[in-house]
Amino acid sequence: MPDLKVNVGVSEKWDAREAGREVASQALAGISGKPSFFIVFSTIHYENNGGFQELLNGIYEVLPRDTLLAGGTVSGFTTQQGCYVRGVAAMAVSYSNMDVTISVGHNTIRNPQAAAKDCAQKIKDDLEKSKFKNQFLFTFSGGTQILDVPPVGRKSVVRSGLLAKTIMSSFSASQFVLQKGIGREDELLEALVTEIPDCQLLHGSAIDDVRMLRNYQFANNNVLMNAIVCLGIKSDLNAAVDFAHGAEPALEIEITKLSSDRRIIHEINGKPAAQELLRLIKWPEGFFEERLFTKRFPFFPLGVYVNGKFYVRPFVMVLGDSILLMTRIDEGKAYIARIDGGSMIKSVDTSLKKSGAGDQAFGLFTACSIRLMALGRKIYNERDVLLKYFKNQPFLLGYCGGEAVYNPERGIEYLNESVGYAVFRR
Amino acid sequence: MNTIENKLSDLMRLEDVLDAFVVTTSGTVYTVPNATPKIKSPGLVQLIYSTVQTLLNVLASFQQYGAERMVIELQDVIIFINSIDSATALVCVTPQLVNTGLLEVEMENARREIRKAVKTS
Repeated sequence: MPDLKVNVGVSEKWDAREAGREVASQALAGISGKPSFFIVFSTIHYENNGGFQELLNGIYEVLPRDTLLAGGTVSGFTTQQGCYVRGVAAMAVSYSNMDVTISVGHNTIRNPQAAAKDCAQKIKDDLEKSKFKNQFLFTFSGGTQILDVPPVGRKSVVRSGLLAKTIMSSFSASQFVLQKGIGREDELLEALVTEIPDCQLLHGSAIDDVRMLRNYQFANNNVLMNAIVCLGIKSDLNAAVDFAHGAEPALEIEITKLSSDRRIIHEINGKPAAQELLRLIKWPEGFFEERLFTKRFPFFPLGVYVNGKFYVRPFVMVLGDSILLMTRIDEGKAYIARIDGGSMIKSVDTSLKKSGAGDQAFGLFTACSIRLMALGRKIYNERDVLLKYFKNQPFLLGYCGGEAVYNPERGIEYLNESVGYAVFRR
Repeated sequence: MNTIENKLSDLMRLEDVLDAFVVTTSGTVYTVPNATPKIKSPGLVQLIYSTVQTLLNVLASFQQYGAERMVIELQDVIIFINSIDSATALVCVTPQLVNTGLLEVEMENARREIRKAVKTS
């Protein structure tokens, strides 16, 4: 039977190069020769402690030069070793019954369709002759970046109608010219799986420390921005790909007016969206105060049904009387959802058990950073669920700016405030 | 006590931590030597250090009910008093508008490491 070896390393060293060396050494422990692939999740801290190029240089001081590496910045990560919001984690996978390639598409915010097409072509070409039939893609792309506009700064609540209008009208220009704005991962991934429909996919979007000002992607020894990095794998391993969130519909509403890109809600139930939301959740105007809103918004997200499945779409920004989402929705019936820390954690347990148990070899997770913000130190309870499920098998979970899963039966499922995962079995 | 100093030093390197120290019910306070003060008001610093032992005693009195931490929110800063054991706490002061969820994980990791160090010392 072919030898499958998987290891996860973690480093909290401050210096980027030292951290790179340490995380690679740990991840490669017990793996002889070149791993099949290497996944890296790093927090944004190395930007000011040597830089991400130095982090990758440190990794490649230890890692064989031609090892395929994919990853990028996350707000935190969970492994067997613990939960972290500062440092770098890496997973090394070595397996002989596996063909692997890596591909990159650029300018994902400006033109996600073109980026996906470029990226898909190399994956198709490189894996075309593989004798293995199970195709799995791990994608990591640039996530949403919010413009830090003076005098507003980086805020989640802008109640001034004039400022809000200025910000909203600058979205499309900043998206095209500066490549700052909504990450458009839903469009990117739809285009990618149109090119490569016969696969299972797990996606994560890069993020910083949830200020959402900048983020980076890694492809081998290259540091990228506004790019999609795709690790294409064909093997005889089976991957169970699914997601969990723990939200339930609580209150039915009607989305009656959206922006043309379908990401800004202007009206709920025929009334200005922000005011109507306050009335529905029975909160006073004071709720739209920066401090309260950032603490509470994870717990009353919007929820929508698509093809009979319930998805969470958090209200990420209040702009005058409008509300910004990270994902496109449709006008019509929607819900204010109910979610709490307990239901978030329980949903992961339930979903993993449903995906099968007993023979899992390793797991890869991409979870929403909003969950990390909401759970705080109780994120360790989520790790307990993973430890119990994986027993001594390795896993790596990155807290991202967006997550998605795909399989041919269910189509692309772009998620918010959720945990997406791929559990691999022989 | 190197672990305590190292963990406090890690916390103090974070932009969102204004002060971090460990206090015991017996009155011992561990700080980062020569750390640059980040809290603007010397009066507030003095008040925090002079009252924190009393607050720790209050927290310790809830120990049998699994007391984990006490949080005091002032207008501009938040004071987190994280229980390490019945006689020791990790105190962190942060600005009001920070991502407390992420910071909680950093404090929790420091708390766990310091608890290990206290147990073995």
